[in-house]
Amino acid sequence: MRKSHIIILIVIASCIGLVFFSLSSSETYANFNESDQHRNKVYHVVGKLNREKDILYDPQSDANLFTFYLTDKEGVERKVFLHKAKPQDFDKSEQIVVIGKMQDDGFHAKDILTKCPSKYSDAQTTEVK
Amino acid sequence: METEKLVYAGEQLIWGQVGNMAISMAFATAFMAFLFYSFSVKNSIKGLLDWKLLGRVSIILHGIAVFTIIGVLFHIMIDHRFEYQYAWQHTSKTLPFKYIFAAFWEGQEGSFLLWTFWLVIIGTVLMFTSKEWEGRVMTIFAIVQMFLISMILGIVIDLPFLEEYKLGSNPFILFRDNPQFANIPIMHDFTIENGVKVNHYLEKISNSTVIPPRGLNPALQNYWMTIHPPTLFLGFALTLVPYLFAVAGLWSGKLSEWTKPAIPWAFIGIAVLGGGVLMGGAWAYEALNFGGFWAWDPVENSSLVPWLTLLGAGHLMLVPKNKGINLKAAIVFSLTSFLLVLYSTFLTRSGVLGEASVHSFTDLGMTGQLLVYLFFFMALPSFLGLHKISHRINFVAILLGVLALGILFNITIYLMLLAAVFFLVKPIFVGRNDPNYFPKDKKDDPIFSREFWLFIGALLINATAVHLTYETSMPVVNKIFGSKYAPTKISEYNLIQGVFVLFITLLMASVQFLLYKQEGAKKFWRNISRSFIAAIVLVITGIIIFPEFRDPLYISIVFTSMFGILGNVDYIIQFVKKKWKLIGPSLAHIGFGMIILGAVISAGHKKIISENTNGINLQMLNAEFKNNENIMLHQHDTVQMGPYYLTFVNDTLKGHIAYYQIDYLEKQKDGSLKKAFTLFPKLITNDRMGNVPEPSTKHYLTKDIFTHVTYVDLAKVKRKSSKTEMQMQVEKETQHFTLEKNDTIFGTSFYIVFEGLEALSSIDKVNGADPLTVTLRGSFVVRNFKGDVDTIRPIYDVKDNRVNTEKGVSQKFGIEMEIEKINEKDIEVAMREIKDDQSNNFIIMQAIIFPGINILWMGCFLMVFGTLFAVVRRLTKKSNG
Repeated sequence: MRKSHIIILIVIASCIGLVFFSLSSSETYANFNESDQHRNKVYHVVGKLNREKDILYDPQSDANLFTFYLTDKEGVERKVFLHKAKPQDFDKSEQIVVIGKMQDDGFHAKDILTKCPSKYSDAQTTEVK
Repeated sequence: METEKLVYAGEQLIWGQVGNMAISMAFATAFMAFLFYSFSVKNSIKGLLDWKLLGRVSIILHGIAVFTIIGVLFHIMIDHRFEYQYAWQHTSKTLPFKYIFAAFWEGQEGSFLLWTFWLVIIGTVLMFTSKEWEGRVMTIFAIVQMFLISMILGIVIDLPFLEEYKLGSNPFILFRDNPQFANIPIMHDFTIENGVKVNHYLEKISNSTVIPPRGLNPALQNYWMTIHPPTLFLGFALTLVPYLFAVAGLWSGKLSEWTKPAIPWAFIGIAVLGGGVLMGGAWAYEALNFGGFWAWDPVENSSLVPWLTLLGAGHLMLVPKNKGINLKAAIVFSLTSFLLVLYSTFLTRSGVLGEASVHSFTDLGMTGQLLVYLFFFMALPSFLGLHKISHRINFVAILLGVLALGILFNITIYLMLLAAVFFLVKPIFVGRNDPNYFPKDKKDDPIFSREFWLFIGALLINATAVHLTYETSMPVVNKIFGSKYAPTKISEYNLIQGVFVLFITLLMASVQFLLYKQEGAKKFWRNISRSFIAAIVLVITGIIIFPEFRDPLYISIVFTSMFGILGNVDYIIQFVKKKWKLIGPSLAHIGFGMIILGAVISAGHKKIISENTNGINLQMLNAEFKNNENIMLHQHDTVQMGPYYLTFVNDTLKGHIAYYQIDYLEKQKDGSLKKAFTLFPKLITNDRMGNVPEPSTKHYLTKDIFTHVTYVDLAKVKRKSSKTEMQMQVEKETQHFTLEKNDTIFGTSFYIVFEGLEALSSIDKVNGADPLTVTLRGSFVVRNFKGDVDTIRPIYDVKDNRVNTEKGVSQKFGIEMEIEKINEKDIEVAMREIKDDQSNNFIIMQAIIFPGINILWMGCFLMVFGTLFAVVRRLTKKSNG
């Protein structure tokens, strides 16, 4: 066996190792129920905002807390505590991904992704007056 | 009635017809070029049937056609011909002319045209410079152009048994053909003019009375959008050239000769694509709210990955008399750069990424088409690389077999993609059965030879590319395997990529001191020792000076990148000084080292100074989610953040952009505050697509201060800008109270105590018969909870039984008071908060100090400059003989 072959093998092996490492530490998507069963794991929950219920942001008392109600894809609704400022485009968002853990009083999120009708190109969303 | 057609007033349909004709011509000429050039490969007869000449003519006609398409589309946009969907969607009459380019490539069709434009220019240069490679290179080039033009064909194909399929998306589609607007009344209204039904929709749209033109997304109205896409697309276009030469090499059997003409192209590609990717990072840093230079976003990654493979390919091509595994790797990496550009086009344009990316893209229905192209260009090199007809037939049979299996067992298209990767790349090596195929490497490369370590370096660079591709493809992986992996955290990217970059910079520091085909261990160790020791000394000094400088990976990367920089400086001192023309590669390496060093330092020492130190509600927060990065700043308040005192001075709305003036004050020696600088972070308002905040940054030589408005109550600045609404606001907020002495009114953020009335004139005759004449002044003390105090003194004046009142105002609190009536025991007052909104105006903001970011910018410049310098040196040397 040649030296170059050995080194290639080492590199490939470490790549596979990295893939496994990254898989093992990867966070996954889940719904609220799954998140409820594994309280100590961080999950990404995809859902829709419930506009009927309170959407509360009171920066006077805490600029880094924002609460709202999210309905996940299974239809389960939970209160979400986002420990961040309210995203500026929140009111327009159609789909929301919250990243965090379930706790007794609701889902505590450290981060949020909002998807607007389309931020950078808008081929498909059109409102007609 | 129904047979009579509507006439649409004001439309100029000629432009669309010319444009579509040009598209057809561009497609046809690309096909002709493909035919003629492929004939020229086998038959090099001169004279009447000079295939090569015919091919050149086709390419030139093709170029004219492409330029016509672009010219017509520009004309439509500049002339605001809103009868065309593309003009309606991407421009408006109010769009400044300087953004017309940005608007042009905002859409999918425009960006494909931009790509095609660069390819036409590259193809024309290739045609006249590639000499004996021309036939093969241009044949494949013509195929690429056919595929690209088909992306804008917009032809609907009626396939039997299948639903109709739309090939490409046409930029000249008429507004009224858009099914979304088909049922709007204005498209059907008409007036009878000279017996003809005339519809005036265009006039109404142009006057913006109904469905006004969209215009360019305000968030994209900046100079980055003008310079970043063309640079990036030129880079993407340039990755094609190494692919062309590598395929031509496989096709002709000249397996190592193809590298020579490809080297300058590969390195121009490295410089331009690298510049384009970094420009994207600069855009993110300056104008987007990523809060940093690089966020490992799928879209960022998918343009970085082709650059990495191209970088690996370029370096391997440099090895003279390349053979064996080095040569194979050079070929594979050259091919994959272009394939990865196609793959990233597929990823970003097909909507597969979905919620994984901040750049959201919509599906234009081209997913299938893009996937077919990807397969085709994956299979092409293997097909052409097989020289025996029987091999080619077997290969095509295997391909069709995989396809058939996929369709038969209804395996998802993504599974086929995966299978194809294994099946299609393998035949490159199958050719080994041919006796004259890959030149065998007789003996192993010496351990201390340059090519051996270049190969290891290229392998590592590609390992990073594999890692990034894997992470970026997570949504695709999820689709194939039904897994639910979420996008990887930035910290994890940093960790894995950090380990890779550690080894890469280590090699970058040392490999140039090795010689090709030779062992020279002793000399090598001596040569690198100087820079190695210098880097160690610097890092240890850093550890002593900066207490936060403790993370082992961080320290290691700072060391290796420092070593990378110093090693190349030392190389210049030792070897280049008398031959300064050879300085290019070393400069590029120093630049790369500085990029890594700057990125690591600015990220590692980044300091969020807007952290909330008030401790409000801290006990309520779960420690794990503690996040105090955002802070609230009231208008006119001054809050200390790090070394600065920040004041939110004012907000103004100009057009659709709200500016927030924030003064940064510094404490002087005598304790007074002096303004250091002012920043204007902004919020770009867009009712349709959401509001986008844009940071503002103060640049110093050693650090940047980044300020970003994370949340504002937009209604306030809007209300201020429109006076009538302001008036309404005032009316609404007038409140009436009946007060006795020492009574208190509680307002939103203040309280008022009525301290009594005092007489300013004599009240002697109050009870007399004379008409009452008296002047009274009220005294109202306003306080807020911070301890500010002010007194409001309204006047109540009675003369000849007629009452005059004069309002008392507190500018400080923005309160106006009027005494309406004085009774025996109490008084009636009216109070309004004249600038209630403004006095209570606040922003939520973030302030971050990035140190050493200029090292990164300087590195970007050096890397691009050094690479281009080296290319120019190589080209001029060649022409001198």
